Amino acid sequence: MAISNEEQAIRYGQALFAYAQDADKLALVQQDLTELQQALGANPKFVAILTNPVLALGQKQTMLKAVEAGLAPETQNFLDLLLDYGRFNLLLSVIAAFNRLFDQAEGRASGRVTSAVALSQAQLTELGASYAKKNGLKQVLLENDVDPDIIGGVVLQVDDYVIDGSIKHKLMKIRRQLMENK
Amino acid sequence: MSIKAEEISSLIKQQLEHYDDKLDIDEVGVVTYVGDGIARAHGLNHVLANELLEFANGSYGIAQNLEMNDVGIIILGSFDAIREGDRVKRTGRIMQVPVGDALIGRVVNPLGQPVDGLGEIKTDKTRPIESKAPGVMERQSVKEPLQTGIKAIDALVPIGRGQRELIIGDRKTGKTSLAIDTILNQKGQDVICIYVAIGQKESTVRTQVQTLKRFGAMDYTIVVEAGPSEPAPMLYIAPYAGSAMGEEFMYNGRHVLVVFDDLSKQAVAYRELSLLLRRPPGREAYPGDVFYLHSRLLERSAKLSDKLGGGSMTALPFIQTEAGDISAYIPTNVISITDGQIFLQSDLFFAGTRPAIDAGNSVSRVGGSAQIKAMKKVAGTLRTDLAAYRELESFAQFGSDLDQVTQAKLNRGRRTVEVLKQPLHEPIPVEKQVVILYALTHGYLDAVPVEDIQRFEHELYANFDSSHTDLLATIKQTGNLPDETVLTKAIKDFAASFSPTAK
Repeated sequence: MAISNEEQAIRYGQALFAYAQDADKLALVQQDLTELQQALGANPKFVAILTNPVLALGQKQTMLKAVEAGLAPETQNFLDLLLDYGRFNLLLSVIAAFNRLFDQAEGRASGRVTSAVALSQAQLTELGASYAKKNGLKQVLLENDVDPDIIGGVVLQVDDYVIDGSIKHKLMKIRRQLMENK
Repeated sequence: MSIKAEEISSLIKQQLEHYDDKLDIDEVGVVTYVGDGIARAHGLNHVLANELLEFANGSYGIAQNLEMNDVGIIILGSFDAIREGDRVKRTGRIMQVPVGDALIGRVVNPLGQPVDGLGEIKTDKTRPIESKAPGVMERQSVKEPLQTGIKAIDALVPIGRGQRELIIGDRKTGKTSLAIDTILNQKGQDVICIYVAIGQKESTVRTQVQTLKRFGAMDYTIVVEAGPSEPAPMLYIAPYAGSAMGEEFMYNGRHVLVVFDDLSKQAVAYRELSLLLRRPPGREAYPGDVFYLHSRLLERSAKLSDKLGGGSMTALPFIQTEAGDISAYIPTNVISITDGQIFLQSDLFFAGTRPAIDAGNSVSRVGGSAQIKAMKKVAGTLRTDLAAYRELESFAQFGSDLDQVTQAKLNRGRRTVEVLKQPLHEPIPVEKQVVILYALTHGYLDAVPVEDIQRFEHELYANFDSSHTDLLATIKQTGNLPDETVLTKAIKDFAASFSPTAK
């Protein structure tokens, strides 16, 4: 069975990460990729052109050369490889996979906090710091969602983990307990 | 009756005192696809195979396919309220069902919830639905008989406690009746029966439960029911749930009979799930592990060693064939897993030979060790008699000039077939079976007209019940034939007094 795009992206991401690490240019490559990601977000047609089967590989290579001019040589090599192997459609997933590995290596994580009222930046930082301390991370970046439905407390989600300390959840739990022990 | 508001308040207050205010840390995923009875979720990176998952609407699911960034989940219960984007969280448990004595006499669904409207089931014991079968050292060979009360089975294809005997045949050949009669005959034999109805019409199940109630068999029976309108996952887990309920008794040294009616429907439900989960289809579109589906289930039936209490679980799986084709995929699979099969034929059924057991194609690999000595003695020649009769039967239709020996064989054969017929819901205790088969194999029925055989049989039983209870008691208690001169005399006396119907 052919492996899925997701799996391929992860493999390319791992390869790029190891390559940049060996060259000791992790931060530089990460910065390049972030810029690239933003640029692609603004011009989604770029990937479409580079994956278009009608155009010849030579034309695409010339086009890519113009775009990647200012980037680190490692990033340039990687983009050329992706194009040569016909995997340019994976670019965004590869960047995401790379970023995940980068965050892991740096001990960073990002997540969302849901609260009934907006939290101040100081509160968010404190919350992030305490989560980071508990889970052996260096830094946790949090974004704030406001949802009055949860009544009070906060719901913290980082990666796949959810810590639900909302009043709504507690009420649900009480309700379930009362229903069970009739 | 009056309930004061204060009482309710104090009750709630009491409950709240036990409320533990711990923070819940859950690992969650996001539902990306919901289909007939299955869902896919993104995330849940640390989920284990077969782990129980909880959806936002309170439904539960079982993790089946673990792929990179994607988990295939079968949903137990309602999936209407599950939407794309919903959260699904890990529970860290595997699927369990309630077990124990409280279930006896109840009709439950595959989750162990009552569906008979008789209130909640009070038991705090549970067992995982999937569990490893007992190993080599935990077993002993099957040696005690499980009396089905059906002459054709007890004499020709005896079933032992801990055996797995397949019942196979086309639709409408009396498979279910065979199982119900077997359950009826377990009365007073210290056997717990579990009837697992998979994809059977709810009306049929209702009828069976009524039958069991009427004969007082619900006092030792659990009915697990997954109707055809339930989603496929319920049909898929039903036999495992039934086995889990049986294991509880088996590991406590008791004897269990579990009937899976029928496993072809379970295989079809599993095929549906597998195709929806995008597992590659194989022969007849069944997935590659459909053999394991049945082998791991049936392997859990065992006769445990004395060290473990000597309990047993006998399984009677059913397979429905299409047009008598026992070489289709699922039938051959299950035939190779079980310790023998009872093949029911529609031709025999419509010719009035009921139960329609095809003696030639039915076997029991446990054989004589699952019979009492007396039965072994009288039933020894039955199979060859029957085979010889079937062979001569077609041949005899062409010519009328038959020698004495052939005539005798045909006569004996006709009477054998007649004796093995048995009406519905009338199981016969083993000691009486021995008496009638003794009479048959020793030629005391040869003089009785074929159409009078059934009447002869009934009157013989009545005669023994009234005047020869000591003989019956001997067979029942010792398992051996009583003094043959006495037995012969009793049968001869009765045969002499029997008056054939005047023509």
